[in-house]
Amino acid sequence: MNRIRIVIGRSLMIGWLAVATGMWGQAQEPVAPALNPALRDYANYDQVTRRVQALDQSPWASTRSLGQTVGGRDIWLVTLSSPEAPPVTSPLADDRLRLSYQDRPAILVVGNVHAPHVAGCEIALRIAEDLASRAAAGDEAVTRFLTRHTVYVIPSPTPDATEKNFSSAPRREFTGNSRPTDDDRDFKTGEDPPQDLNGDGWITMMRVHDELGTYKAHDQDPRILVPINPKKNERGAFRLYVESRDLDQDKAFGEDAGDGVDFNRNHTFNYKFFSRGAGPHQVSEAETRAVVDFAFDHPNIALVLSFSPEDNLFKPWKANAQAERERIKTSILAADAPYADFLAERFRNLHGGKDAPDSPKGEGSFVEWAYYHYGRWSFASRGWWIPKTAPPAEAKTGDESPTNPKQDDSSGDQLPGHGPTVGRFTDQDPQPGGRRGAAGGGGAGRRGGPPSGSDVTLSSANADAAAPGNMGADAAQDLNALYWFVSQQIDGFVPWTQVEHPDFPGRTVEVGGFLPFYRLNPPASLLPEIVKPHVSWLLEVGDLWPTIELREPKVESLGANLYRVTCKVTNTGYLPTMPEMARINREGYPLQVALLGPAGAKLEFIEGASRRSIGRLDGRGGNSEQVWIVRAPDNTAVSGRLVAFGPTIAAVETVIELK
Amino acid sequence: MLVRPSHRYSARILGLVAVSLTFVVNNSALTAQDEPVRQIYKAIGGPTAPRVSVHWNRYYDYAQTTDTLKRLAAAFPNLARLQSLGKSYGDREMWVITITNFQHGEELKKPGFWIDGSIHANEIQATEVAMYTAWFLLEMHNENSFIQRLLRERVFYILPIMSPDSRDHHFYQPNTTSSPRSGLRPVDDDRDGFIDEDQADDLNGDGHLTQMRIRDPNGRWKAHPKYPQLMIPVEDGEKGEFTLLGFEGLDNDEDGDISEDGPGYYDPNRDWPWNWQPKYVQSGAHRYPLSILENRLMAEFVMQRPNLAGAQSYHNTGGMLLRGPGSTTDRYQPADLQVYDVIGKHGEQLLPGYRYMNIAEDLYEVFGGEVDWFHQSLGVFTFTNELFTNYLLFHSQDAGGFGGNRERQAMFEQYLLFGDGLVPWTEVDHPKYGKVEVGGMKKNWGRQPPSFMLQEECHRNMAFTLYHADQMPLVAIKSVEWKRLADGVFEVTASIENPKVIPTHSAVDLQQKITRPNLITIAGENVNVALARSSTDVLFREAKVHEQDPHEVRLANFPGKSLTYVRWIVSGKGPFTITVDTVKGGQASYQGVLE
Repeated sequence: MNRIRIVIGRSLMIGWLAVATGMWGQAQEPVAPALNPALRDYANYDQVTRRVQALDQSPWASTRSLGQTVGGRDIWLVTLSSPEAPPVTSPLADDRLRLSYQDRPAILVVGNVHAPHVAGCEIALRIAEDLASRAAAGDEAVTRFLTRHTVYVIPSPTPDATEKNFSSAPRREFTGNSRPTDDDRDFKTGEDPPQDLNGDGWITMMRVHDELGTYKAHDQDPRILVPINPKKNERGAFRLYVESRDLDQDKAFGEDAGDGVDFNRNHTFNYKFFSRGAGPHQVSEAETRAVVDFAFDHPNIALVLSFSPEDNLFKPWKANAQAERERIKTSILAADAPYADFLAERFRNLHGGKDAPDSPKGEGSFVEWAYYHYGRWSFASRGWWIPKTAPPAEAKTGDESPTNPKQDDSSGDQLPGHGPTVGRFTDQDPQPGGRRGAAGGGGAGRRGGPPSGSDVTLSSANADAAAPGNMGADAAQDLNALYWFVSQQIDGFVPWTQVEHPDFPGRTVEVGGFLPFYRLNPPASLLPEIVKPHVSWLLEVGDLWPTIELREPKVESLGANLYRVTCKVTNTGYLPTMPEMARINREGYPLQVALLGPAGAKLEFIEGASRRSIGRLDGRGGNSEQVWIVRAPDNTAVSGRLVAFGPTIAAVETVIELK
Repeated sequence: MLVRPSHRYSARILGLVAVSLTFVVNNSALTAQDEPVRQIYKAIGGPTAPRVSVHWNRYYDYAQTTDTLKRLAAAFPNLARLQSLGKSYGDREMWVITITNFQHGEELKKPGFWIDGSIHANEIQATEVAMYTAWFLLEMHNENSFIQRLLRERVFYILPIMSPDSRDHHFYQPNTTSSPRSGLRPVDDDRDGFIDEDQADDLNGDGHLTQMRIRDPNGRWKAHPKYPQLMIPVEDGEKGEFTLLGFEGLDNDEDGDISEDGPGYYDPNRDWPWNWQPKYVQSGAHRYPLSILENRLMAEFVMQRPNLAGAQSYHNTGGMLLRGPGSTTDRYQPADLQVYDVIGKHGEQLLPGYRYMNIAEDLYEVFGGEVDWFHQSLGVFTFTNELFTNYLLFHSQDAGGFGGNRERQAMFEQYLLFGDGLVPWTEVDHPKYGKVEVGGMKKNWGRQPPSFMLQEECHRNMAFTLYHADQMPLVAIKSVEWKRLADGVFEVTASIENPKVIPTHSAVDLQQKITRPNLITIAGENVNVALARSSTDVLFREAKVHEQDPHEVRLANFPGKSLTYVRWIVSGKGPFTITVDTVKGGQASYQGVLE
């Protein structure tokens, strides 16, 4: 593809610009109404495909499929880079030495690794569209960025799972792909999926009135259920389940929807065998393999930005001196943490969001894989979450408000005038086990909690355990979501209404609770403002890139055609040449430094080899002094070249005279 | 399974004896196309008149092995089926031969046994052992009742060459006895941006990668006084003659290192999903589990066969019957270890010089090994035999296990191989080191049994594996009794036996819910089931009541060497059938009439 881009002439580019500007811009894209009203104006698979194909028209972008899912959907890759020929990546590449990489130092952007977080797909795709438009329009910062760097964008890494969120009924947050799975490991597949008991088209929650239940109504808003506190001798009133039957009569409710394999639980780091959504083994799925192989095949990738609730931009990972001493690394290394912290801080400043919810802990997650096993700087963004919102006047029931009205901000992601009005849905759908639950709103949903179907017991009624849906893990977040719905006129909560339930004869059973998706994905009208800080941050990262200089090159004649050549290979950029994790896990490509003679004249190396590997240089001045002692071929002075290169570094070269 | 790649080999190896015999690989010369010869006086323990004649004192390359497999499948259409799992990276078919009595029972319902060989391609006799097993099962079927029973009850899946590309590389390219352990897909081992740019160099062009030595007054090595080809380290305070410079090689990419980036390197037996760790923890790990194509093809086949209850993955060397776990961070359950102990200790008796060992505790740590994947994620009892041991040189422990006693090895080489195993030291010009001498052990000496010992290795290891296979679970209904409790009401008791050592469900299988429970059903047109109970106590003092679906009792396990009783209270009369259906232990049924 690079080659194709190279031959596109400048005039052709300009001509293309005239006709095609905006052609791939999301604003002009006619969007068919999504089947799922919660995802209105979000692109489903076909629309993503069309927008990817439109991007392919840009001279700054090329696209291809990384492979197909079981469901026959393509895993699209958009490559953004200057149509000009890339700079020489290695002065040594020739017929004899096969170079293991090509193209510029790169950033990999991966969309919704957590399938129902479709905002991730949109943001990733819009990053690509924004970069392509601005480059075509001659935006100086963007053209400079794409001349120095390549950006790979995989907007929808798990398209089968993503599409379920648009089209499957009843509606709930689907994380798994099309592989049928036995989610409760009872040797039957999908025999007890959640059921839409009230016929509203959604899977929400189900509460069973029971004075021995483990949930009670919240003091401030009885719609919200909270776990009883054994330390206060509280009495329960409800049992709480996902909206379901016990179809297989195993006393668990809605526990096996046969939901498939979750891309974000299928990676090698901290993989949990035999757990829900994890798949038969690590990287078992076509889409996981496609993305991971693409990454390994591209050593020029230095940083990975993905989208998921496992945000580490607002909630940066913490180094842990004790864990760091272990052979298997499970915490960010102390040498890497300051750089990750700074990049995250820059992102927070650009984003402007506040009060970000906590991040669930990953199991086989993408963002952790990209750091611990792939050895790249790795960041995950939620993009958006429900901002802190003051209770509406009529909802203020006591003097204690769970939120501080002064913090109700129109800053950050919540933009005045962009509040959508989502009408009353006439069609509907549900949320099963919500392992990751209301990631957008609650910080709920640590994954790998109890199967969705079981009643939440006292032991799981702490903030660390998954609620059986997107309620109950964090009452303050639940209340805040209700306030925000009111302020945005979003009908995001289904009032509890009684249903007949054959599995609970003689008991009052009500269906209600939060609708899926609304707490995880912003109204689509907010997306343009959410994309901006992400693009700005990427451009900043480009300026913080490691930069190699060959400082103080020196040639000393030792007589008899012998020369001592020295230079200080120095990283003047902000970032180190690789994360310390890459040095440890041996996925980093050490910087190559070589002294080369002129063509046709072979230097004899008396001390040291022509080429050396330099493992890792710190940012802002990290350096390595290199010394060569060579014999020039004859008595005439010759020139030589000092070169330094590596897949994630712009190659540099200095001419020296051996005389 | 043992040892490291040749190009990283430490220089502590051997010296040798002066004999120059060229290593010949010639397809036509080695292919055994001889007409079957009927033995006048039968040598006991082998087929009288094999339909497919194979000499088991030779090694066969990929094409020859393929040919033998095809001839076997053609000669035994009712017992053998040959299929390819797909093609290797280097475009070679991955052959699996399925062996069972296809006229008796369904393949997928019989307890299955998996055998693979030469995942580490340099460990070449693993293929011969697997091939010998296939040949023996087929050729002996008509004249041995044990084999006949085995093929009626069991199905064997044999993949004799797990790494076909590298097997041919070992045969046809310069190598050591330890190379190539890896597959051949290109990998930038030293991550300098260049792929496989500094491969090994056969400086004297003899097809073997041997050692380089240089005369050095400060050297720490000298020639052995009795076996002058053998290099031995000098004692403290003693003066040496030579410095060893590692295996033959050049610095082709001018980075100062000799042969540091050959084909590969990744280790196909650090590529399995269970307890996998990346290469900074487990050297040799590739990108992710089953990222090596040949392994993935095999794993997909295996995962589609839940009937597998036993497995053997042959390696060399050292004379070991290895069981997992491969890492001290992992645990096998005590009940499973008891099963391994019974089979492993039996094997020690069949295989003189072999020891039953645990990988993690007795050998070294392995993350992502095949045996752990089989046991911990599929619930399959699995051994790895490390074929050949120096014990066998003189049938005594003084020659040692893996690596062995080099003096005894040199003696064997001189007096039993008559110098066939070594390349004598000869001088060559090395562009970096100047004049050096090249010589040492040939690639076909060290880990592989010499010709006259190969067939015995094949047979004894097969015998162990057939014992293992015969101990897979096999359910039988030992008896069914019934008594009348009242008019039209009966108590029916079935005694169900697993007479083998291996349970239908390993402990880890039960814990992780890998295999569905055993189903014991009673059915009859005029028989209604009121209640079912099960117990291992003949008196039913402790019994489990099966309230849900009493006509289809679900039992988690039939342990090894166990008798389980299932008792129904039924009403009605007339004919009834009891069926026992297991995934890994076969099926059984019984028919009776209540009156």
